[in-house]
Amino acid sequence: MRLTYFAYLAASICLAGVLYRLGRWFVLPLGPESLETTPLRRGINAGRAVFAAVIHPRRLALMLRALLLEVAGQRQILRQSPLRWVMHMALSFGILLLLLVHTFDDYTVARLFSDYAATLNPYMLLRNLLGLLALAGVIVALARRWRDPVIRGTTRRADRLLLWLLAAIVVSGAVLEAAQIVSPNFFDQMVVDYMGSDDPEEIAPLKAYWAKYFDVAFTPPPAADAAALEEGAQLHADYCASCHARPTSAVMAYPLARAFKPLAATMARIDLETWLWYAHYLISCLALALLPFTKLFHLLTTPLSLMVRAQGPAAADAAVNRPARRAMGLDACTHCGECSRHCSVAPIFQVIPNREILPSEKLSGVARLAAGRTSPRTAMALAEGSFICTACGRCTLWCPSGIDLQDLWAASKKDLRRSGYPDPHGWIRRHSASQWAEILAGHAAPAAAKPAVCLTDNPNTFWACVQCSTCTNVCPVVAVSADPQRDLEMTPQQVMNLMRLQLKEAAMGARMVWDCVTCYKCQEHCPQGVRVADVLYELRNEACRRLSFAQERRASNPNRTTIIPPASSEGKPGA
Amino acid sequence: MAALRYLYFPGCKLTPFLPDYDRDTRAVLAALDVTLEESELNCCGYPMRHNDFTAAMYCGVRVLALAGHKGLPLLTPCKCCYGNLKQADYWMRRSSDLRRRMNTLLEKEGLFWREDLVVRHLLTALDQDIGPARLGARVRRPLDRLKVAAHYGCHALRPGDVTQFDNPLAPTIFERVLAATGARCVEWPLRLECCGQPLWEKNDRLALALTRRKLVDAREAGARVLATACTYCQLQFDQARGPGDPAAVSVSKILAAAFEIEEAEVSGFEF
Amino acid sequence: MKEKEIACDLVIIGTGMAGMAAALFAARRGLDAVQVGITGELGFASGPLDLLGVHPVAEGRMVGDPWQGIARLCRDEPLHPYAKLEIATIRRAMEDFLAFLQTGGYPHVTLGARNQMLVTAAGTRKPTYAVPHTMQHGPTALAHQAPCLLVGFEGLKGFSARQIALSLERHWPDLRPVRLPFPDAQGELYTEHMARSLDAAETRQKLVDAIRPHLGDAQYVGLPAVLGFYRTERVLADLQQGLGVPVFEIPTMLPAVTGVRLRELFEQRLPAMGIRPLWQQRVLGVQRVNGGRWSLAVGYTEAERLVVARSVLLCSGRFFGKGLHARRHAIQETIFDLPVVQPVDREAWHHKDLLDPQGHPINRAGVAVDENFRPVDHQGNTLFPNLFAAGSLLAYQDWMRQKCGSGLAVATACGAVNSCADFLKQVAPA
Repeated sequence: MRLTYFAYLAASICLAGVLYRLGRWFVLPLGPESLETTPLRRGINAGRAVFAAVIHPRRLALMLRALLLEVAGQRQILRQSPLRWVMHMALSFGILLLLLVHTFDDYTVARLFSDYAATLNPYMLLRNLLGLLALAGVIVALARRWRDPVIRGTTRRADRLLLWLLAAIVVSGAVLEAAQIVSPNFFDQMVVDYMGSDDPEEIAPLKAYWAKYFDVAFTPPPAADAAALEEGAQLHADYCASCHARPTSAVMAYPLARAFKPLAATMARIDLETWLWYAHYLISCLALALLPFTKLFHLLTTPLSLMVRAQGPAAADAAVNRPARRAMGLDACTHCGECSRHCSVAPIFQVIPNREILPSEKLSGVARLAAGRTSPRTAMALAEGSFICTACGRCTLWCPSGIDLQDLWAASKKDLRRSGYPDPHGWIRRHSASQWAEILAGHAAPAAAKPAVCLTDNPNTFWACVQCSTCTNVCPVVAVSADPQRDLEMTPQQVMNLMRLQLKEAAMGARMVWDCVTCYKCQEHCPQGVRVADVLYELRNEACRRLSFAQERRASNPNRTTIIPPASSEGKPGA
Repeated sequence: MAALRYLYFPGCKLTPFLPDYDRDTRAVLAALDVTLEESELNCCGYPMRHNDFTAAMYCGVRVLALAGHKGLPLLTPCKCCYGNLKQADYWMRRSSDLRRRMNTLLEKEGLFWREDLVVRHLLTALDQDIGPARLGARVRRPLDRLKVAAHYGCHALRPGDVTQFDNPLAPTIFERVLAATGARCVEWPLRLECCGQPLWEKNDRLALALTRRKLVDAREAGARVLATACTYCQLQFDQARGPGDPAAVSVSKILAAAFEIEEAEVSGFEF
Repeated sequence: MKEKEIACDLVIIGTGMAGMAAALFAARRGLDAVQVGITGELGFASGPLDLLGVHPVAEGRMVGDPWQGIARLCRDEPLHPYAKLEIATIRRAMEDFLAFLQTGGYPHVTLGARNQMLVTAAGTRKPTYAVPHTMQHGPTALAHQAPCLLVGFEGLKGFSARQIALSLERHWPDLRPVRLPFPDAQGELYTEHMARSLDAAETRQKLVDAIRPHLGDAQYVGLPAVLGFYRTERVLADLQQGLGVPVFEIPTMLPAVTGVRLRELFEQRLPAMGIRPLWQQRVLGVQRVNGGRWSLAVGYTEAERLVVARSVLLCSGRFFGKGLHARRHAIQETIFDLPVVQPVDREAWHHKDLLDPQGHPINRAGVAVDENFRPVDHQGNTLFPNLFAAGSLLAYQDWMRQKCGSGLAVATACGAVNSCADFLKQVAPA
């Protein structure tokens, strides 16, 4: 049959994809450790680590425990939310058992039970129940993605499409089964195949019996007198009963079949059940082929991730293994969004609409960065999101896939710095105050982006300043600088003077502004009550805003000359 | 005296990086019959202040609103968290523009900012709500051999008009709390100076210069222990400590030692 | 919650020299006092405590014996605030004040009945009453014209050893300047940081090593006033031991370490003596309430608490301290809107010559008080029985030119606190 070729094709794609994804675990540069090793060494060490874990009784026990409790039992999700646990269990066990008792029935149940037939109970009932279970899982999952505001915000089209794909498999199967139940064509075919008769007279009692008890929709409906039914029952017992239970046990397909009955003639005419069969088969093949390229891949990776995690955090692992662990973590993510729901800094997303602030989104960004698929703009956004993270570790605690996210973020921050996308403090260090004054001058952010409190634009903030230098005298940063003018470019009091002259840009990139330790001594000691430290904070804020605004503009107009000079032109003031 | 109840705000860094301070704080407060309620709260916004004022304020205001929703005063053992929560409260009172923006965001979650919400740092709770007398009464083993330098930390102390912590120029609250254990507080010139942490990972050389300066000063003043009451300060002193320097120890651990609380591991220091 | 309303016997408004002295005297007399004020100004004290340096101002005559000088001043200028006090009271006030500094570990030295001549950063000589112990060898060295090495530092603005030596050539030929780098520092220097770094023994040793090669025949070494912050006694002892000769400080530009030392000393000691500090806060509004008490709204930018006091002592200073405010047509007292003694109109505020040695009429503007330091109106009637004033806010004095700032602050604070204590006793005898 031609369809089988599709199945083989899908299986080959799937296999190739899995191998490709696995191979990347040893290639992707994730974290500074990856610079000091080679893919080969990473591979060998990973193999060694797996081997060591398997032969070590205690570690093996840990893995098996994780397999049982975390993978099969999903204990983590159960603790977090019983409803979500029900959803995950319904979905995963529904699909897995369907694969077992239905998709690959020839190799499983049919081998175990010699009298197996898909249309017999308990198989028919079981298949329908499992289908319902999986479908319920899909519905709960969709509802969850719709109901929770954070999850709704992070849900991508791919997340929903995959759920629809699973639903399509189940529903197409159910519809197919329903169509088969009511199909007179199918009945005729079976009679030819198994009763070896095409004599209408002979078949009529069976038809009557099947019309009444098996809901086949004949046109016109066969006469159903008691005698015919009795004869039909006999024929049924002789030819059909060994393979067919009544369709009422097909708890999902049967109601559909009843609904289809009035349309049965049309369906028969266009041979719908064959089309449905194609659809069901091909959608399933599609899902198989997509497996390594979508988050369906987590079916394989998450169990692995959980078992590896049971061995301890990444920090406790050998340095050479950490990059691979991180890569596996990237693949184990189901994009469930729990990390973002519990992220300490997630509220910032409400003010700064950069999705890379949210861990579930940042993870993809990190994956892109590792794969070298970032533009300066996306890398800049990723850096902004990454350096907002406070490393509170809550994402790691909540992750049901056992990804050591905290380790991943620590590594990606280092990677970002290395690839020229540091935090704003790092950016500023690249040029002198006067260079920044030029760079930032044209990029005053639009009025809408102004902060709610703006001291530097308000002359009342500075009018009282008499340049008495108390702020400079009490400043601990000035105190520990060997040469304030060289190391800091200007002193707090000089910054305040620039503010008085409304020369904000001239101060914005000054080392003093960025090396301010925020101890507030200047502000506390100012005899004139000038909010010196708050002003320094505000200058940093404004520079941050202008930096990202400048980057936006540059991205929207590639012909513009470079606003933010590339990382290679690193230079120190005065150098 | 009515039992004290707070909504506990550990802050981001405490549990992952200083589990000791967290555990000791809980143990000490439990020993003083203080109930700590818990709930998932977001970052206080302090680290964000470098980048974006409004975002930093929203974080702080949201924590205040969540505490208001529970109707409990907040208690945090971190001075930077305390500082930013007070900053949020301060600016909410003063800027109608900020209030409008914040309320719009809070409304989406059914939250609102309450003007009467009380924010406590561990020290202000110990000093003002519990009182040195009750601390002293709970002491089982007076630490009279301990010479300690109280490190104030900046963000709770200054700006004084915002934080309302203690007299910003000549604070005494930390010494009062420590004195309740019988410990002797040394006078040291750099008592009110910065620990250097805010510049860590931004300018490490400068950050360490500030930290080292304080450690040397405390040592010259004859302190064996440098008492902290802030997650960030403690982390910074821990990573900058050199041979011969006084050990940085949290106020909770010192109290736990004086209270002879079993769970608190105080064996590392000879009090 | 923090107490929102405070009741007390006395509120001292101001944290300059007069406010701090008043707090000290109030504490000594056991008054229940609250002190309000932003404490920046004391950082502008240059170190020496003047009692009376010049009189008469018009002649620019330097005063040798300040006590005799005060007696003459009181005869010549009967309206001067000093004239409201007995000499013995002033003397006791100064003794008390110096005793406090002594116990605080920052002793000051006087020559008893004589002013001492102090070298300033400008290279001038200035008569003063008491100097911090860190400066005590300076006047001796100057008096003996002893060979002296004067050390300046590269990067310290407003202090040039060469300039000072040049200006003093006539009076002190053996003053030899040298300019050295400050240990571990380059570029611009700030006195407070230098002082803090000399609090550390390591920096002191480096400084000694840097100075020693230049010592030569010098019997003294002079340095800008940066010899430590808290540990001045140790810093001085170490330097003198290391160099083998007496070492002294010369006052620097303002704000100066000498002032901050004083400020921190008061900040440390006053609360322990019973003063309730509301520092870094100011009085934002006043009201007279029942029984004539004062109700003061106190806060930084907006009222945070109310202080209800039986009496108030105003030490709010002049223009820089914001006790006085010069409006377009008139000078105003900023808190109580008290009558201010001043020239009739703005034209008469200043003389034509900016550097007129007599000073300008505006310098002598201020709040006039009765013999009990209670502000009076233009007819000389006492305004309130429980409002007192002291310090540079008072009218009929020119502390800058008369070089009597500290003495005026301390003495009038003492007089005002005494009157206030009498008033409180009268109203409610203990």
